[in-house]
Amino acid sequence: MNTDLPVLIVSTKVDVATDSVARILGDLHVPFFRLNTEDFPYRTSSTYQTGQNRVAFQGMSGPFRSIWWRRLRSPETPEDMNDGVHDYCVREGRDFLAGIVLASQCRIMSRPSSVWAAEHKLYQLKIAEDCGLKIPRTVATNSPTEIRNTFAAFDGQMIAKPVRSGYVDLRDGSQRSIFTTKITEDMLEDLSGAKWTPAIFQELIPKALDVRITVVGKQIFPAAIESLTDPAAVVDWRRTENPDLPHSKLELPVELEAKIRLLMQRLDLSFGALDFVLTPDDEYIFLEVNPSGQWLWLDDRLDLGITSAVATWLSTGEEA
Amino acid sequence: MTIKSEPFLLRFADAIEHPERELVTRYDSSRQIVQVHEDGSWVDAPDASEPLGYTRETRVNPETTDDS
Repeated sequence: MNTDLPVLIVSTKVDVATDSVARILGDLHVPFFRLNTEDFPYRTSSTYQTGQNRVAFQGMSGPFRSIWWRRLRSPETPEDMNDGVHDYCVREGRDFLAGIVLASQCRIMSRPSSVWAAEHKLYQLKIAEDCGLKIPRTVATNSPTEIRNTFAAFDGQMIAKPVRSGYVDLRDGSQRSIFTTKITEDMLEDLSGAKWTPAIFQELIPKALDVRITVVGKQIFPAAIESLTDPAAVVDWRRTENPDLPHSKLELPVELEAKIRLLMQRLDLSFGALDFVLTPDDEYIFLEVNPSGQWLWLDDRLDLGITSAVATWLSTGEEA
Repeated sequence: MTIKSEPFLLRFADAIEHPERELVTRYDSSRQIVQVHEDGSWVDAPDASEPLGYTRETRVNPETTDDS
C-alpha cells in the first residue's frame, strides 16, 4: 500500500462515525478527502479520466490508498429545478461515484455493488444459511392470505420487518422508521395495506440476549445487548429511547466466528454490523447484516476499539 | 397520504426525531470534521454532549447506505 496516497471517504456531514474516523486519520497525519454526498454534484465538482484511472475532487485527487463507501445522502432540490430533473441529476451523480469507486484498484470498504446486493435482507438470509448460520423461518409476501397462513404456521409468534430499509421520507418534512414489529392477531384484521409493498414475516425467536457483532476486515467485535430488561427493546432493541440499556462484552464460539467470516467473504464485505439473537438454549440465530451499520455507541459503552479498527484498515490496510 | 394507501408496516412506524436540527453545527473544512456549538465554544461532533443522529445511543437509524 502506497502511504503517500490519500484515503477517500464517501459519506455525509450527518454521520458522526465518519467524524470519529476522520479525526483519527487527521491525528495520524493520513491524507484523506471526505466527500459529503449532500454536496455532490451541485456544490462539489469531480473529474475522472480513463487511462490513468485518475479521479480528482476539489482539493484532492486520486488514485487513493483506500476508499470508505460509507453513506449517500441526497442534496436539496434547487429552487429552480424540476423534481424529476433533480432526481435524474442525483442518480447520475451517484452512478458517477459508484463507477469511479468500482474502477479503483485500491482497497474498498466495501465495493458499492457488494453493499447494494448485501442490503437485500432476503439475499443475506440465503447466503447466511449457505454459510451454516441458523436463520429464522421466513416468508416474504404482499399477500394478505399468505400473511395469515404464515401467522398460523408460526403459532401466532411472528414478527414483520421491511425487505431492505425501514426508512420512509414522507416528503412533508417528516420521516418514519419501521422497526421490527411483533404481529398480533388484531393487526391481521385489516391487511388491505399489505399489497402496497412486500414485507418479511419471520417466526419470533425466543431470546436470552440480542447480540450486535461488528466486523472490520477479519476482526470481530461482539457485544451483548440485554434487551429483555426494557419492554420497549424486547422485539427490536433499536426501538427504545433508553440510553442506559445494559450492554456487555461477549465471547463468541470459534465456529460461529468462522461462519461469520465466511458470510462476510461471500457477501464481499469488509465491514458489517450483524444482528443475532442468542436463545435461552445458547443458539445464535442470524437476523441480518447492515453493510454500513452504526457502531459508535458500542465504542462509547464498551470501548471495543471499532473506530480505531476502521481507521487502521483504511490507513494501513492492516488489522488493528 | 390516505389510510387506504398506507402500507401495512407503516401503520406501526415511529416518527424520527432530529435532535441535531436543534444544534448549531459547522463544518471544519480543513480538518473535515463537523463541530457543534456548546457552552460558547466549538467541539468536535464526536465529543458533543448531545447525540447526533442517534448514533451515540442504541437507537441507530437509519443504517442503510443511501437515503433513497
